[in-house]
Amino acid sequence: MSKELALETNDYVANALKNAQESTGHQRAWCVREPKKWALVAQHITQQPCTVEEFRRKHKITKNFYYDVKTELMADPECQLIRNAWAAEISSVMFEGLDTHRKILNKFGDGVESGAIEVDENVMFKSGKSLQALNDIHGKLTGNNVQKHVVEHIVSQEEYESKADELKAKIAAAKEAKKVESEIIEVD
Amino acid sequence: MELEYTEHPILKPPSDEDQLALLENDPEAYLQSIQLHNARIEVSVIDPVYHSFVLPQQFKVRELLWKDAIDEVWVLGGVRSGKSRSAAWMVMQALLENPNTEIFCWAQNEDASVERQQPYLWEMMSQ
Repeated sequence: MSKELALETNDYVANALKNAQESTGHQRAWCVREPKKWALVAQHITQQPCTVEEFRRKHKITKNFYYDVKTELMADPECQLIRNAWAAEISSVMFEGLDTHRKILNKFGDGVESGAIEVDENVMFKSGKSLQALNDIHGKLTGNNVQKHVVEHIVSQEEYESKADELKAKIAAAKEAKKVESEIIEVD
Repeated sequence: MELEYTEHPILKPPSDEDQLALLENDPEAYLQSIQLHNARIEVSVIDPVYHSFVLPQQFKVRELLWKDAIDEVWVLGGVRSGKSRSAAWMVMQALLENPNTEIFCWAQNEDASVERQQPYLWEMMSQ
């Protein structure tokens, strides 16, 4: 890693630690109790120089501590890049899972058709749930199930009227000023 | 949104009389006119190289420099007449459209560069 990148990472970790300490509402949070260890874990999460297991074993860090720090770090609004990487990891696991799921479904379908698997209420329920899960994933991937909140300020009739009054007053003031000006010119 | 046209030295809103006429006859059009006015100013700040307000003589300088036969153009003008700004505009456009290009901007000394050149180059960077 270049010196500049290392510096940026250190700055980022220091900032993230400060943000986590400021935003936590209690003194039991790891970022308050073990700030040095927290920063070490945060650095590992951002850079991933070795596997989590190796890192934990080397620095004697518990699983709990590691994933608590990860959660605290994720809460930082500035860690969008880490969240993106995390999302990519989850996506790859999901795609792998879908492949396996497809194979299971095929075998299951063959079993039902041949009569080897007896379809009872339990099987029906599981099948329905599985379809529902797939539908949710499909919705998330296509963005169909995203709720959108559009906050729009609608200009009210009162605001229009008040603006019209303001403009009328400005026009009247300008006319008055013009009248005074022309009067002065006449005197000259 | 506020019913106010953003103030700008070049882009002027309609006169008070025209605004009143529009407001009384077609409030939606009045609102749209404010939105367009304010968005035009906003985009000039966000993407100054391609959307800032450039004066005709500044376009002329760029057109001259685009000609193969012309190597240099001397721009004369008073204090704060837009010489440095238009140069920064052309420099930034050249950098954006020609990757891996290095351009040297010369000033009398370091202070002059910091005070009179670099702010314009900074302003020209897309936000």
